[in-house]
Amino acid sequence: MLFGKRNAKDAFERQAEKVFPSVFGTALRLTRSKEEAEDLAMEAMVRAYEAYERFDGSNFKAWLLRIVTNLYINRYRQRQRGPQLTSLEDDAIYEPVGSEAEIPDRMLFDEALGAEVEEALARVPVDFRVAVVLSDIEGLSYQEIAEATDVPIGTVRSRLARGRAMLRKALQGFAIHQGYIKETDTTNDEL
Amino acid sequence: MNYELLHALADNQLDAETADRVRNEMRQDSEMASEFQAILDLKKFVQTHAVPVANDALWVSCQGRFREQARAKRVDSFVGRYAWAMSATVLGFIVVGGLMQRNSPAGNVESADIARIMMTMEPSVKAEAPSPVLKRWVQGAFALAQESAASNKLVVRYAEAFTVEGRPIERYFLRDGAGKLVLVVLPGVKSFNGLETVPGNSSVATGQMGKSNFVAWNNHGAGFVLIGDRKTADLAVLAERLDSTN
Repeated sequence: MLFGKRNAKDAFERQAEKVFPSVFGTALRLTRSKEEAEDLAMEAMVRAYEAYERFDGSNFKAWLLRIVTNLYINRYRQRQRGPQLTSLEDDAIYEPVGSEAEIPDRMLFDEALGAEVEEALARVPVDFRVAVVLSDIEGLSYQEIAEATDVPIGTVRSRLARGRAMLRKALQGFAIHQGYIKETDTTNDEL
Repeated sequence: MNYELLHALADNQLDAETADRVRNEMRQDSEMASEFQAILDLKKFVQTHAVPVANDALWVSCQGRFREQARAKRVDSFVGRYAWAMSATVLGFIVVGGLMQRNSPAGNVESADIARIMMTMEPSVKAEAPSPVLKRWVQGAFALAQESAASNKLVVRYAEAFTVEGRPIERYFLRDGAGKLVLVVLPGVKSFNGLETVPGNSSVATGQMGKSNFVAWNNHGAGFVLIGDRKTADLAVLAERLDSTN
C-alpha cells in the first residue's frame, strides 16, 4: 500500500513535469503577472498533488489546467466582487473575425512576434481569454474547457467566437502599427 | 450565418452530420468560407507564436513542496494511526514510574528532603506501630545510652511508623534532661547528600531545620536523623552514643 502510494506520487511527478510549462504558461496568460502566475501555478500543483488519488486517469493535462483555471477564476472573482464581463455575451451580437478583404495576408501573422500575440491576448477580457488560451494554445476540447470554467458548452462556443474576434482585432492593431495593413482596412471590424 | 458553428468546425468539435451541413453551406457562401479560413489562420498563428513557458526554478520549488506534503502526510498518518498506542505508552511510563517511586524509595536522601520527611516533631494522627525489629534495637540503644549518660536520662516518649512520599519512616519522640528530641529512622537509606560533616566526626553529618539543629548518620542499612533544640555538637555526641551501642 505504502509503495503503491509512492509509485502514484512518482507517476504524478513524471506527468506533471511534462505539462508544467503549459500550467505555468496558462497561469501567466491569465494573471499577466509573473509573481501571481508563479503563486497560482505552485498552488495548483500542490492541490493536484494532494488530489491525485481522485484523478480519473483520462487527460492529465486537462485536469491540471482545470485546477489552474478554477483557482484563477475563484481568485479573480473574489478580487473583482463587482460587475462581471458578461455584457459582451448578453448582447448576443456575433460578428465575423474578418472578411477576406479585411484579413491581412497570412504572412503578416507569421512574421508577427510572439510577444505581440501575448500583448494581444492580454487585451481580451479574462472570461474570453481563458477560452482562447485553453482551446488554441493548450488544445483542450470544448467539453474540457466547459469543465475547467464551469460553464455550459454553449457558453464555451460563444466565448471562443467572441474571444477570437477580439484577439483578431487586437492583432490587427499591431499589424497596422507595423505597417502591414492600412488603418482603413479595419473600419468594418469593430466589435 | 452561425459563426459559432464555424468556430466549432475549425476546432473539430462538431458531430459528423453537423460538420457536413456546415461544409455544404460554406461551399455556397464564399463569405462564410473566408471567415472559416480566417478562423483557421488565427488558430494556427496563435498556436505558432504562443509557446509553452518554461520555469525550471518554479518546478524545482514545486517538487520541494511535494516532498513537504508527503512528509507531513506521513507524520499525520502515523500519529493518527498510533496516537492511542503513544498515549498508552506515556501513561504506562507514568504509572510504572509512580509505582516504582512508591515501592522502591531511593537509597539516599537529599538535604532538602529531610525537612519534608520530618514535617513535624509531634506524633501524627494516623501513625502505626514501628517494626518490632527496629523498635527493639532503638530501645536497646537507648537503654545503653542511658547507662553511659546516667546523669542525662534519655526517655522514649512515643514511637510511630508511617510513610512520606512512598518512603517508610519510623519516628521516635525522646526526652532527656535538656529537652525534647526526635529520632527519625529511614530504612533502606544508605547516605545523606548535601549535608556538612561534624568537625572531628566524619561519620555524622549535620544541618539545620528551622531553628533546630540535626545530625544524620547511617548504620544497619538505615538512615538516622536526630533533631533537637540544642547545639550540633551535643546532638553529635548523643548520636555517637546511640551509634556505638551496636
